[in-house]
Amino acid sequence: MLAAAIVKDLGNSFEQSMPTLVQALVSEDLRLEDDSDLARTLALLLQTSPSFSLRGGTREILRGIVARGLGLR
Amino acid sequence: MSEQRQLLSDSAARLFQSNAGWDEIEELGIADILVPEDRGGSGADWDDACAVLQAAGHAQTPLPLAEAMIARKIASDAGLEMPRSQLSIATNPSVTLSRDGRAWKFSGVLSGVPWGRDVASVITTITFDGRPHVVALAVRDASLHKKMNLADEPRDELQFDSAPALAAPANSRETQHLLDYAALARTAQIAGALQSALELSITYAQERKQFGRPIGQFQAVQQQLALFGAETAAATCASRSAAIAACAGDASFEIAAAKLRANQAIGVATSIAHQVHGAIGFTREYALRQATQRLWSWRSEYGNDRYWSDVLGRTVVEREADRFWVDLAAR
Repeated sequence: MLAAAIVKDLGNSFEQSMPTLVQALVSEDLRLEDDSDLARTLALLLQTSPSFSLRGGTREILRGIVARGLGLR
Repeated sequence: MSEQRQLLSDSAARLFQSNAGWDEIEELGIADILVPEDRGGSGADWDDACAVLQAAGHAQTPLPLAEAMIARKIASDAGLEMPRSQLSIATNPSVTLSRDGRAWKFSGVLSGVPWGRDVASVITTITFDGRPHVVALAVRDASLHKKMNLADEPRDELQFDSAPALAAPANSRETQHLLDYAALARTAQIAGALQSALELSITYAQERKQFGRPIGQFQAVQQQLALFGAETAAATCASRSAAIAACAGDASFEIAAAKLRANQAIGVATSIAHQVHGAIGFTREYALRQATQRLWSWRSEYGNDRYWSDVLGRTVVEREADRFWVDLAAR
């Protein structure tokens, strides 16, 4: 349970950071409304990635479990 | 904020909240806000214009208002007579302009044109014979490819093939640095949309109950909303500083910093807004999505983080390290 909570929290943070980092770094030629693979993937992930830390245990719940595992509760 | 600016911003906000159409916006003179009075405009400055755009961003007004303000301003700078209709702008022309006697011809593609399908004309700037020129193109002369950003705002591609154009030279800062001023306008809209998303998130945290109390009473949620508030304040403050700088003269540094700061705030703010809202934040009917989809789109428009970081980095490096603090303090 503790290990699962840690893996999901770390994984969510990593995968949520990706679309934002890519959007910040791509060249000016990339437009979100374009139909290239990168533009379409980025557009989809920007809109859906906030849900990754909601489904199957929100970040706050997971961190509560980790805190309990650390002996804080 | 001056009393007059507050009045303008308040009446604009009321107008946008009532989902006003283009005619009502024209009636209030908002689209002509940057045009000097002796050329039929309101003669207001960028601080006024940004106050209005912030209200439009807060209400998520689905109209090319920022684009029309800038289009009218640069058309007026060049002495081009434009009809009182919706106008848009293109900041990235990969095009050729040619002249045959008094007639101008225009070929090339304008991409990401806001509301290209709905406006009569698109205004852009091109250097011709070593001088910046303002160019007006009729949309009916283009082949139009309809596209939408994430918030379903039209971002169309217009292709012109030896189309007739109106063109005239102009030397205003807006003409020479069109992308800068388009980015400045976006930062004001972003500030408004961030505030709207923050208000929705605070209200929701006070209403939604889990584990027997409103989620806003949990420290974990409070800390997140406090961070959201700080990011919104930083983006709003950077946008306002850039608008004030644009009233006084060269604002290239402030605008680059403001758009970069706004882009950074969007990343933090949208993830907290959705985290606090949970699943309801993703429903089509709920207002949060209207704000966050615009914010994600606007983060890429008129320069992403990489673009404005490059501009800022080059500016600082060119002036050398010893000048950095002196230059910054002089602004």
